[in-house]
Amino acid sequence: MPRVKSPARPLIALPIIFGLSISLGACRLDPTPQEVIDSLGPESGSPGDTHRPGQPCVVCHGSYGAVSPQMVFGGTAFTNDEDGNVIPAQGVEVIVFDSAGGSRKRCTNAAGNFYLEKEEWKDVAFPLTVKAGSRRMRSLIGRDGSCGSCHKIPDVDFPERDPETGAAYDSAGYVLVDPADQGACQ
Amino acid sequence: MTSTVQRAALVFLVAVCGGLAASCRDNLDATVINKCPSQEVFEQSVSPFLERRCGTLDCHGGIARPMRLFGQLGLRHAGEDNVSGGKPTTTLELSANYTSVCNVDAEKMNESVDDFGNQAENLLLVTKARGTEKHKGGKVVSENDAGDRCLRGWLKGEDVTDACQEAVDQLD
Ligand code: HEC
Ligand code: HEC
Repeated sequence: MPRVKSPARPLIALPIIFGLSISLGACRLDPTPQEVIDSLGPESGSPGDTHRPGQPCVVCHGSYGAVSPQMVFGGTAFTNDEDGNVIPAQGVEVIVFDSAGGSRKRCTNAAGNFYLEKEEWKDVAFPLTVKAGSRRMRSLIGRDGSCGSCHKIPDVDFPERDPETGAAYDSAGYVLVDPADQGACQ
Repeated sequence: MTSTVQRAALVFLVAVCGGLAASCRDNLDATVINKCPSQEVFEQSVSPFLERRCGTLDCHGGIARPMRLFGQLGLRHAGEDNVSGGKPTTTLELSANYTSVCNVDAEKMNESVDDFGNQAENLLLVTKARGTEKHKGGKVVSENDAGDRCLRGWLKGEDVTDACQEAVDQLD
């Protein structure tokens, strides 16, 4: 075969462009809210105040998701029954404190869910701290009002570490309250 | 012909790897080649403050954030078996935090160290924390408050034990 100069120079650019376009998009700084929403799956019942327990409410009920009602914070409290199973914690008082000295109180409902509408706390100042029943969270909420963003519920896609709390390297597990704190808040 | 295909495949792979290296820089355990203030002081005093105030899972404790921070109350190092809210921050996590913070603004950090911290106010670590530079987390410290003295003092090589402790205490 006679040696000819490769005519393929321009073609070489294609794999470069293709390769770079795959890999440069690989590491985004944040999972986009849409990715989070997609990962949550479809509605299992009808939407309402007891739906999607454990999920990060504000990703949908916030400015990105734009679903009504718009929320400052929202989440789900769980507790343990006598056999140690994780169940929704009902009638538990959740108090959120902001950095400007304000606070708001909600009661958990039958699903353990609670939330506060944006209109009820227009000048909320992050970071926030939280108390659920008698337990106070030590760490701060920097800017995400969804308890479920950090308290991810363990599921098949989630490498659970602590069998009791569901906590993992990037999750504090369930928001677990003392069973005795139930029923006090109506 | 095969050789063209092979060459194309090779170039493709090189491009993928180069791209990955460029896009995931923050995720690699980069070696610290630039100068940075005391690692001992950082791990002892500065990291505890940064972990508490900045390292929450929804901020710099996010898996793919710039200046990623590990800590007891936030993200745990994948190489160890700890959970968020579990055991105290480990030495591996402390040194990863040091690397992270030193590399935020590596070139300017280098200059700042050469200049004994006199240019510390220009570092992103300070301007972002003060909110004078665009920062998603807003204003985190005010000029000369405990947190600000903790950060700037470290950058200047001062003893910041008290300032950092005070800054942490305010968060409890
Ligand atoms: C994946 C997105 C998504 C998540 C996550 C989500 N919701 Fe919803 N929610 C919706 C949608 C969509 C509706 C229906 C809104 C409508 O009909 O306008 C809805 C409706 C509601 C309503 C009823 C509004 C009404 O007017 O009846 C409440 C209350 C509510 N959600 C609370 C919550 C709480 C609390 C959480 C977290 C535990 C949560 N949601 C999580 C998407 C979501
Ligand atoms: C930015 C991440 C993050 C968010 C958002 C968050 N938490 Fe937490 N939470 C944690 C971590 C980490 C822990 C474990 C250590 C600690 O701080 O007490 C925790 C622990 C807790 C505890 C347990 C305290 C104990 O004594 O066992 C409660 C209760 C709690 N959180 C409630 C909430 C509620 C309610 C919300 C939503 C309003 C919320 N958290 C939102 C990160 C978060």
